[in-house]
Amino acid sequence: MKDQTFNENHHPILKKVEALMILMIFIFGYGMLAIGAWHTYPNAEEFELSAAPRDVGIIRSLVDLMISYDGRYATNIMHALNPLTLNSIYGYKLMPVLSVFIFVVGLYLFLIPFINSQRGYNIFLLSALFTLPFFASLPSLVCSLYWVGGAFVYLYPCIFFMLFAASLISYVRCERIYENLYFLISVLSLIGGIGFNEMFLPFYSISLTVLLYFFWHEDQRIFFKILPVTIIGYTSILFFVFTPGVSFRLENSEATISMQLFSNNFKNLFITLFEAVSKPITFCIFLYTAVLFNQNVIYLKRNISLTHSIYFIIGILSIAYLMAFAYYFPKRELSGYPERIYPPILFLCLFTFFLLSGKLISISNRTRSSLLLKKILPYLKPTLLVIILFNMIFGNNNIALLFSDFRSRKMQHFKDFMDSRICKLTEASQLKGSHNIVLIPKLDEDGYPTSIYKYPDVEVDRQNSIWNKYHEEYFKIDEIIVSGDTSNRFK
Amino acid sequence: MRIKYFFIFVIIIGQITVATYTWREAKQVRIVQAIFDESGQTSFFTEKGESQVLASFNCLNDDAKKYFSLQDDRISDDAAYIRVIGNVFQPYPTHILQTRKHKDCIEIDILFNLTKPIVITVTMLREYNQYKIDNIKNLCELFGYVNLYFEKRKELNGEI
Repeated sequence: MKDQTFNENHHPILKKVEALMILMIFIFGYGMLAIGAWHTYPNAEEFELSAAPRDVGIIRSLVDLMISYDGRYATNIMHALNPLTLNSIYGYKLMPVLSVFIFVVGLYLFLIPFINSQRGYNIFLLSALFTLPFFASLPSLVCSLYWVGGAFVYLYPCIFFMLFAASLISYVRCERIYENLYFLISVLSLIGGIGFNEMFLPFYSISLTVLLYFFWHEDQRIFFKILPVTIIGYTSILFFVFTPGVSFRLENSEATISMQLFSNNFKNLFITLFEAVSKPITFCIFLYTAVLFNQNVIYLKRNISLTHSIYFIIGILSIAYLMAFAYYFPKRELSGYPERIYPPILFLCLFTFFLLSGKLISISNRTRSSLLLKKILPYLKPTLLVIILFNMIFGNNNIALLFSDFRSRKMQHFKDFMDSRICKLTEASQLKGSHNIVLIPKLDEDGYPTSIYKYPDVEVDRQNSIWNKYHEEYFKIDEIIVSGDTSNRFK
Repeated sequence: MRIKYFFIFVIIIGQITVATYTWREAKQVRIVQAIFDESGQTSFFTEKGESQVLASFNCLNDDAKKYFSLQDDRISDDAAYIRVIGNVFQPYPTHILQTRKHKDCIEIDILFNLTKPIVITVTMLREYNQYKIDNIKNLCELFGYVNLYFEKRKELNGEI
């Protein structure tokens, strides 16, 4: 039984300060993410990916991508269903908000089987709190959230994994009446989760195999219960791997195994984790969660030892390495830092750290009774929350960058610019002429908000003609000329 | 449990069907390079390096011809502009064919709207008189519908 003095906060004012700080963190953090969504716009690649399903149909475009581009069937389905295919730019702006919302809900469903709390809503608050450092410390928030195509590839598999894990656990535990329902949800989320990107292939291959191995030895009733789910998982992995698009990519990748490939992967993984964990917002939430665990405000449903926790972390880091390798190998990236691929890895590592924070920083009973700790502890949680809030406003993380772009009015200027451009393009697309040409201004490469938008964009002189062409295809305009075009065809 | 294994059966059959269909379609995809020489002959190189003559410049049929139009107002001394109107490549509807003229090349992109995975990029460099065509699916069939017609840039003006 833990010490009551340690468990309870006897300072009602501090308790109110803590609640107020959490409220402010949520309002500011989620408010900035929503403001970013309101100011974001699709780039050339988004237009391209949406034009095909809109114009030739979902099935045909899905088949074409599977044949000629990749095996990411779930990503391609999401692309085909995204609001841009319905010509809705405002719908597109809603997508990041929706993504964050379902991420929080997915995390809540994921945490329920693992964590208990004195109050039910604490787990939901915890999910909302965990989500913020995740988005704040991503190497590229644009590629992972505001670039909706990027979110489909790197964020949605995390959401589907959480849904899969939650439904699989419910399926194993549930009564017969709901068994088929949970089976269906777990299978569908597994099929979906595998089809987002190749990084999750090693993850699911290992996870499903470990699950089968574990339950074969521990409980064969559960083994046979989850066997149908795992069979579908394996066939989905094979389906992904053996699509023509993947073979096509591998044939053209000239992929070779070299030490540099391994070392670059290791270096980038280390940099990503170090930068994420060393950010005050992540570190403070880690400490805050550890205090919550030690105070028994929340507690793990199954007690695991520190040794097992460390083994588990090593296992997760190894899987993270293999996941990144699934990206590096076909791309043959011997150098450089592909920032967009790290959301799944951060997702796995950060939430493992958070969940095991109570084990990693466990305060012994002897330490609990020390007078100094008793004096410090009531102030610790509000202090951590104040640091988190200030770091979100002024620190070096994605939410602070959003705030900086918003405060400097970069976002507003960008929105005005893009609104005017899209208005022009829409008007031109409605003209009935023999050859519609529209002249649009060039986006200032140094002045646009990097927190919410990422190139490719239309270019002068069609230096890379595909970006202009993608816009032309989406808006059904014969030609887009960017101010400053110096080709001599329009004399 | 039976219903679960039936579900597995349905999923696997679905996956096999889709995989078979996509592979059958994919086998028709060829990566080729097309070289249009001065005599009007076109040589196509498949991804395996096979070479074969598939079409000739001067055999553009009348049906295909009517889809090509030259925008006179866009012709300057050293520029040519060609555009395809409508669905020339039925059953491969296209809505964009565009040409670009720069100082050293004419580039033609034909985007076949993805009813089939076709993207043709034709780039003629003035110095080499060479065209590149990438990702052409079922090239023979494509050229059965329309013979892409190209002659040297100056001759183009007078032909169409």
